[in-house]
Amino acid sequence: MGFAAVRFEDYYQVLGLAADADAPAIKQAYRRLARLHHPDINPTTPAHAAMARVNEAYEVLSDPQRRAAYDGVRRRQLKAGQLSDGQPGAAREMPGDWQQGFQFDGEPKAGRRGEGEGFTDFFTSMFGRAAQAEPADAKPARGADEHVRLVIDDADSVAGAVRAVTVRTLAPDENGHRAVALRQVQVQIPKGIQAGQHIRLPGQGSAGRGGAAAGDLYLEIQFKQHGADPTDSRDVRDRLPLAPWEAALGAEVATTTPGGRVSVSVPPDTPHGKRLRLRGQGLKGEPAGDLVLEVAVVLPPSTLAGARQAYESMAATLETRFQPRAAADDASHGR
Amino acid sequence: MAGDPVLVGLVIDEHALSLEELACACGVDADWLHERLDAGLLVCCSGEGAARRFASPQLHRARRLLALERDFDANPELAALVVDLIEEVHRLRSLRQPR
Repeated sequence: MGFAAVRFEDYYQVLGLAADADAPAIKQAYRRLARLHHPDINPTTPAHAAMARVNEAYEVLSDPQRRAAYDGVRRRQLKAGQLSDGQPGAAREMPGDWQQGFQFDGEPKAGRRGEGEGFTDFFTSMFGRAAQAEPADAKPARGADEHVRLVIDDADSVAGAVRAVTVRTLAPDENGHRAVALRQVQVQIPKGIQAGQHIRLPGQGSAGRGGAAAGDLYLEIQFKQHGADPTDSRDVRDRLPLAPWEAALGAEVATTTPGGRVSVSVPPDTPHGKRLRLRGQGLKGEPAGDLVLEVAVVLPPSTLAGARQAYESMAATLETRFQPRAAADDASHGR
Repeated sequence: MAGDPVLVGLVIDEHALSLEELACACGVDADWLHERLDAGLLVCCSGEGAARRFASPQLHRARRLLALERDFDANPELAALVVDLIEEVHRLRSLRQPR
């Protein structure tokens, strides 16, 4: 494994601290940032990523042994002119020999590890492997369970789907060291799964020690369209493609819901983008959710037999009476 | 990747966890859960005693409690109060969603 592309992480900068910050200051900075980026307060993806970096920085700086090791690497960076104290741009590429003379024995603490965001390559290279190979007589211990938040489309729940999931686990490497390993697995998303539910994959977590069983992998399901809480909606959103005449004249069209096929009444003059709500046709529950269908008017390509003539006929008949950009023009002139 | 087997998991709301399994999922000792169950800070979804079972809402709650206790050195009761408030906010947000 080469380390030349590993980028240095300035953990002091991540926590907004000076390099001589004492333990209470580190804890205070961590708590302040944990409140700011806490997933229950700030559910956005950038906040998750920021929280992962804050966790990583705290994981290192709150542990005297890790901090001492990290400070040594940081001092070498400063000495080599790769870094200046307090400068912006925390991540810098590390020289290929940056780990020389450095060993660290330990694993990330349970509970703060992973969560889908994972640790940076810098952390993984520096702390992600135990220094000693696992002894043959190691006391058997089951591997840790791992958790990944899996964001899916509502449609995946409606019809079921197979999704690839990347998980960071601890497993013995080729030399017998326990190291953080990235692994991708293909997972069946069961039909009707709801936001907030967990899929458990036995034996897909971190490897056990001394021949003990691996831990499990838990996938927490979230839907793309929903924000803060994974547990609060049973509504299902999907797209309803319509031919222009179905949207213009109205139609009865069939679509798939979590409960099976249903017929949907499309009223005349339904515009593209309109949402049609089918009450109680979403995910099961008390009460059941709704199925929200967003109309997508699909134009037949002009190369289709007869389509060109139909468009030309429409143009000849409607060109002077139908101004699709009139509303937009009015709005822009009124500004 | 294309030839990799597709894993079929268990939805824990249909295959609820035992107390020991919940402890593993949270990375804590069973005693940690016993203390919070005895104090009423966490409840099971079904069963009694050794047959208690836990589903997704309980896993969410246990992990939130753990994170708050760990990240903020909160005592269990204070962490539970915060989790109660978080759950209430989520419930109210779900009611506010346009239907």
